[in-house]
Amino acid sequence: ADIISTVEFNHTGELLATGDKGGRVVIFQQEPESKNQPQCRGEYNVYSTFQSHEPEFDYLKSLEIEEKINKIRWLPQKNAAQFLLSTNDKTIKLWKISERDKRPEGYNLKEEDGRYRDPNSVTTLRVPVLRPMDLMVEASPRRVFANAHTYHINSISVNSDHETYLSADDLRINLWHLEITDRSFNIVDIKPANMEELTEVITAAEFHPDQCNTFVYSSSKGTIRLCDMRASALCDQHAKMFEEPEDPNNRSFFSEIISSISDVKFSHSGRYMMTRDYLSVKIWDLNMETRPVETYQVHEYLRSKLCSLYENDCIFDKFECCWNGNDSVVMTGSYNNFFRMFDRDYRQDVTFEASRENSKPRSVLKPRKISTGGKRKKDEISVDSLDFNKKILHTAWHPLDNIIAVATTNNLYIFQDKLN
Amino acid sequence: MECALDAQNLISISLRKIQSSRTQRGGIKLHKNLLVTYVLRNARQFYMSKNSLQTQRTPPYEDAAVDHRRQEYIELTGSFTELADDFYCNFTGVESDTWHCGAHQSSAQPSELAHQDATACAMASPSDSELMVSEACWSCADKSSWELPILNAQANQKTVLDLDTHVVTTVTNGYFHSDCCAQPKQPQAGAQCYTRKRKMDTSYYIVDPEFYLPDFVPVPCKRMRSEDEEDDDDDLQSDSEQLDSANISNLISVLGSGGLSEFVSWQQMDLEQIFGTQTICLKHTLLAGSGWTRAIEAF
Repeated sequence: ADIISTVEFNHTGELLATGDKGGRVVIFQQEPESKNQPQCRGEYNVYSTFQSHEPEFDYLKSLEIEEKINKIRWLPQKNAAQFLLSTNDKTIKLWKISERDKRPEGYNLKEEDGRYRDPNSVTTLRVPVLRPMDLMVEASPRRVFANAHTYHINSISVNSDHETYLSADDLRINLWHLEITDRSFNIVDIKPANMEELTEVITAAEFHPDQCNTFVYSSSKGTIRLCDMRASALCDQHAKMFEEPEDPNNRSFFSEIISSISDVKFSHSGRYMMTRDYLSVKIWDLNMETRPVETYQVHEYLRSKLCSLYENDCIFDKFECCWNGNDSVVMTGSYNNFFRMFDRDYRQDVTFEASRENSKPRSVLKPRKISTGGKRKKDEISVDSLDFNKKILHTAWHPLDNIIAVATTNNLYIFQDKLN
Repeated sequence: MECALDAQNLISISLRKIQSSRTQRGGIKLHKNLLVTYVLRNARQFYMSKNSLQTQRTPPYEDAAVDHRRQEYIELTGSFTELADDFYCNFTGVESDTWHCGAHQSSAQPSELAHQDATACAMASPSDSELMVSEACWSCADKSSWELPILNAQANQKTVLDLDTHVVTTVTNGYFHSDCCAQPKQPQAGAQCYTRKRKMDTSYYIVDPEFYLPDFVPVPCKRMRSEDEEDDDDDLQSDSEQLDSANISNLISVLGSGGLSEFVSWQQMDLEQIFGTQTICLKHTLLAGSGWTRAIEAF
């Protein structure tokens, strides 16, 4: 139940939220920088934990609805409280996380422990005052957006207008207003009239970071469609479609599986978007639909292992990807608790491993190398010794700083770059 | 040859995945099952292409033995029908000579890499398959009604498997005939009903899970789905007059959700037997060459 299923920094990077398979959300907060060590960034400690979703049962279809948190998205902060959206397969919830560090004392009609006083015993009046108390973080559900998705929700994305957000399942995308829970607008519907003709599903969707009318959604066929909500109410017709022709030399039984896009993320600038399929990460320029501008192979050595990966279901793993704050580096996960970073400017890539042995506090991560040829050099790891049960599917990069959060199956690792 | 066995193995694995997905917590994953059907289709196309090549190479005096083996394979088991009853596969008839089992192959050395793939994959040996044929074959109650599915590369043929009556039907150009029934519970009634049924729009069999939306559920505004729902409702109401209500509930529950209700109906089935007889049924279906339609019906 404590398998991490999503990781997300808030807009300032001060808070880091994780969701797990048991429906819980754990929020970490960065400690303020210490005056003694100004070069050292604050550590992340647990700030709040709450149960977001519970298992449910659909009696009509005799189906259990998993409580696993598929996605968390933070809302931009408007007041002292923080808001986030969390979703499982069917229901999205808006949570308010607020702090309480004062409490009123000196009521006239109540004792300090809450018991009511006999009004006849009140002889004097006093004004209650606020006294400091131990910090208490409260999470309360403010909205529940339910019953709008027949299929499993895979994405939520908050619009730049800060009023609406979208939720996407396998076949439909709905547009919600954050204040309205009993209605949503369906803006994309790819369900065919005859389900026998189903050829692709929606795998991810995201709003443009600046243009409130634009969003993209990726498909299991490896295509990305950009839609403009100004063009029509129903965005079944895309404004742009991004697709790279398949290399016929790489055709195999599993071509469709490995071309399915598992994640799509806009760059912070809004000029580019990144997609993750099973073996690679691709950067697309929104102005060019014919092919990506950059392609990075994450673990090409797995191409010859697809049969085994199909058998053990690993080929269906959905890896996510993320940008750093200035869009110069992208990061994604792999197996054996490896994660990869690709520097777009310097055209360099590096592989790190997230493990307890390699991650002692203040120690520097050592780059890892995988041996793909016959001879294995020292410190290289052979492909056959990779542990496919240890996978990093979820990663997040601090929006402003070089701090990353990497989720293995049960653990969360937070790394920061070394400051001189 | 190794790759052909790999294709067969892939089909077996894929069917197993589809079967196990029906009991997964959280319901059937549409995305994953769609991808599995693509693998099924690819493996089947490869298998068919290899098989047709082999058939061409087979000397004439071996035809009788091949036919006999085919006749054995025809004895479909009810377990296969229940396993794959709501799954079809589009057979577009496109065959490729460049298939390989997941490895990147240069066109110059296909056989060598096929051998490598064979070692990577678990393979069922042919002798095991023959054992399964002799041990696990059911006798069908009504063999006289069988029609040997003909190799038909035309598109207007569809195989439909009914969970309730265990009737396998093939629709050819809008008409259907019963291929096989195993331990029929209501064979005649079901078959006759389906005779009438099949002439109607085949989309009857796809029951939209949204059919279950209660009235008070907020309906997304922009998309007016009332027309589609009305059509489905009309079809279902007219059909219910003809069909036994038990048939409908079973069929709907299977096709609509793959939920517990349909699982209960065949949970008595020995799963070992199901897995053991997959190979036979696969061979039948593959050799029959009957067109498969889309592989996922349960949504």
